Amino acid sequence: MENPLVIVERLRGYYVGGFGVVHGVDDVSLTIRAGEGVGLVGESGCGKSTLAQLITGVTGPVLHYQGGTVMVDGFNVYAIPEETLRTEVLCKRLAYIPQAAMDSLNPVKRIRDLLRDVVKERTGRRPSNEEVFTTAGEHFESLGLPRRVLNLYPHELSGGMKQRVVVAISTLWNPKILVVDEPTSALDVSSQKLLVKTLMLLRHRGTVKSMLFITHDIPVARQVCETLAVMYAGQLVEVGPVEEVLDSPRHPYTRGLLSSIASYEPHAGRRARLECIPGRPPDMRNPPPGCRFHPRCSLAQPRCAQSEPPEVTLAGKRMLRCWRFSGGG
Amino acid sequence: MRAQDAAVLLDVRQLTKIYTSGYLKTTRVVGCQGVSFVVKRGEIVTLLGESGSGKTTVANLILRIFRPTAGEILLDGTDIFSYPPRAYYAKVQQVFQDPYAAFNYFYRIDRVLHRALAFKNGRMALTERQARIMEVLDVVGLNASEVLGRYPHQLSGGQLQRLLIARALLIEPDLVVADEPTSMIDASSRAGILNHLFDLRDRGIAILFITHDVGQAAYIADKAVVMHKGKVVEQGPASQVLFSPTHPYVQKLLSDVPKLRERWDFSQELGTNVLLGDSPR
Amino acid sequence: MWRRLVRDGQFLMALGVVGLIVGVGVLGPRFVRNPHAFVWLPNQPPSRQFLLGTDPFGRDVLARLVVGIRTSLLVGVYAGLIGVALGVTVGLVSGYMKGVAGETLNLLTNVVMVFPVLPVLIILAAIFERRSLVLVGTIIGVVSWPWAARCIRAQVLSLREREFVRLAKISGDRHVKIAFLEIMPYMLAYIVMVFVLMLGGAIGAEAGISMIGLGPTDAVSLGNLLFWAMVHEATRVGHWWTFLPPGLVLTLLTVFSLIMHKRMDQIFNPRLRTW
Repeated sequence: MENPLVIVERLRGYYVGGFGVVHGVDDVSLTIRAGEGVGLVGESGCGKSTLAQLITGVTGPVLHYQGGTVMVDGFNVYAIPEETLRTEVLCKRLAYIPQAAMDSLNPVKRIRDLLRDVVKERTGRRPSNEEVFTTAGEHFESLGLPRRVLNLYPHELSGGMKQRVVVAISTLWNPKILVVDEPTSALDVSSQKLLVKTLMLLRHRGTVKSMLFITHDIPVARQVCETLAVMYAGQLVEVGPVEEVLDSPRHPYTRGLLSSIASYEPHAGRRARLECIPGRPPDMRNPPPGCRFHPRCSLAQPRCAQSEPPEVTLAGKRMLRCWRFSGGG
Repeated sequence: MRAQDAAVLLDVRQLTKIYTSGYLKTTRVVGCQGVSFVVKRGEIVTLLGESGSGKTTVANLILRIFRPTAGEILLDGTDIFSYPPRAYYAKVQQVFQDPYAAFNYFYRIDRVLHRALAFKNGRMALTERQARIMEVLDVVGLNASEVLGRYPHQLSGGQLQRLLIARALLIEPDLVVADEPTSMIDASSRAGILNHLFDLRDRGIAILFITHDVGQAAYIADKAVVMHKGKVVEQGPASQVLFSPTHPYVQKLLSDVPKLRERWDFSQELGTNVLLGDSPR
Repeated sequence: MWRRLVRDGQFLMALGVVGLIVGVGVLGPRFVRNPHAFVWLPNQPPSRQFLLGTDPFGRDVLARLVVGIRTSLLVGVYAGLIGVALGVTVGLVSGYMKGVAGETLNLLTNVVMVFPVLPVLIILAAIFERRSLVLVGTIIGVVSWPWAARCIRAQVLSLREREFVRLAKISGDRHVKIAFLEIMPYMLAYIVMVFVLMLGGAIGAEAGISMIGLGPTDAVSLGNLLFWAMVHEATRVGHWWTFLPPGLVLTLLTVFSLIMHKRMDQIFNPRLRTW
């Protein structure tokens, strides 16, 4: 792993609307190096999709950037004009596949027609069907999708195929960074494995250098990434090498989360009793003071309710946000 | 507490459901075909399969939502369609997939609990009803002051699902059909729901747990019935079917499940350019 | 849900306009002269004494307008109530009962819906020589219920499949109890909305048959005013005060009740809801 491609520093982003102000992402710092796959895991509502959106710089009408920096391959996403963001970052360096992307395939267009529109947006020239067939077709086939898929309508494809088509379209121009949000949640187990295989193939070949893979399914994240980042209530609570974090989780939330998932472990045999974390995730309009996990934490101390623990890096590899691991604890 | 005997509670025999549509019944879709399995009293059986495997069809047939095209379902030796509705639902109850949809938004949640008591017990003194409700809320780990008197939108999915389990405890059926009961619950609360299903089993209630999640099936089930494309491909004790299956489909299914402690090895295939993929519809 | 409605600008504005007209119709007749009496010279344009002038018979047009609003509203309300009652009953039953009963009622709804309304109204109106307000209201209601029935049936069909209805079924509730206690609450908002729309439509329908002289006998209604304006060729002779005011009020009533309905639909329609 080499130099960092994506540097996020103290990023904050809130949703502002008639419902009040919802803290989507609060003080997140993350680095993705070239050749690294980072898995971002957490429960629904923890802010992982928000973080992905903020990294791309395309915030919506309700989501507002509040502070911090995001550097994508040398470009400061929030300091450059929108047009530069679009032409230099989003078209060339970063590809973002949001949740339920396969539903965004235009149902009345064949895949090749959609591709022609995409190419026109990028290059200003609308290619002919044959051109699309040859160039894009090659890329599709290299990912295991038969070329004839280009002539089909989205409803003629299975869910797994649609998702792979979306991945293929997003990686046509060799983006250095691929950000995928929950690509496997609507798929059955076999399609899921195929999609993971496709993503690994892209990384192996160097088509895509780094990947940010967002999911709530931790076993899937394990298959895809080298670094695992656990998110809770808009903040990263633990980041580290994936095997280490899964084998010896340090943060109480990570521990609680891992002991509450019923994963299939053929070599471990039947599992001991699962423990769930009491309470529920906080209302992000009013996050709890101090450490956001403290109301549900069995190891909470008075300090945890008073002040927010900072991000602390242990031995250069594990990041933790917990008073037990920073000064005095 | 009821004694757990090994008697057969639910006997599904050659169950077949073919959906037809159109006035001339020209379109045929196979829901399930020739499905046979047995649920004993106090046993947790999982009906495991991917989407489209027919497991929801089987569940709906057992719940009498529609009639089978062929085959029969026997509860305590009698065909389920010969029971009068109230008598049948006194023995067979359901825990829903979407707890938010299962509650009528206009009424407080207490109504669901009181009706559950009234279902089997007719007129019961208010004090006795309240005592029983407090008892089951305690069993499912709900704080009475937090949930009683509230409307459904004020509670979380996990709380609502526990209320549905509490409701089942109040009715004390012989069998509970749980169709993907945790899919709409936060990951950190799922374990609680699964554990409360054990509480049902401890009271002698058998559970038919329908899911596509192999991990949950392995955690909770005594017996596993695996379905694929409407048919049962393998069934037996869960430790056997889920850890040393014999049927090739089950073997492939289990190898496709991502595991926490193992990484898939794609090295062989990454060398080549062509992947083996599923075909378009 | 209701709270969102009462804060909606468009709805409040439409409600204001309709409310104002309704207010005039309800309270106004007490403050105006007798609409039937011949009080002044005929065909006088608006003046300070007669704000809307007089009609060819020398009757006060303003008084006739105000009383006409009340009459039209009454007919509209009768028609709306009957249409909604019939429509909701048929819609509820045909949506909830599966099989032959439901399908037959649906067929009946569709057949009645296809009947051309105006000819039917004309025939019914012509049969009865003396037509009271209630009768005209009833006739209009009986012809317009299918529309409400279809809307309600569609709602019920979707609600019937919801899990809370399943829950009621497996708790042993009977069908009637389920229909009224489980399904009806979800439809109340919708029923109110349907009523508002039927009201607008009924007022328009009343105007329609009154204009051809088959409205309530001897009553002063908006359509009736337009009928007399037509008979006396008010447009040709330029007596705008006899046809413009009733036409304007009629237009405002129907358009703004439509706007009210539209806003209510956007807020109440389950398809647009987030829960």
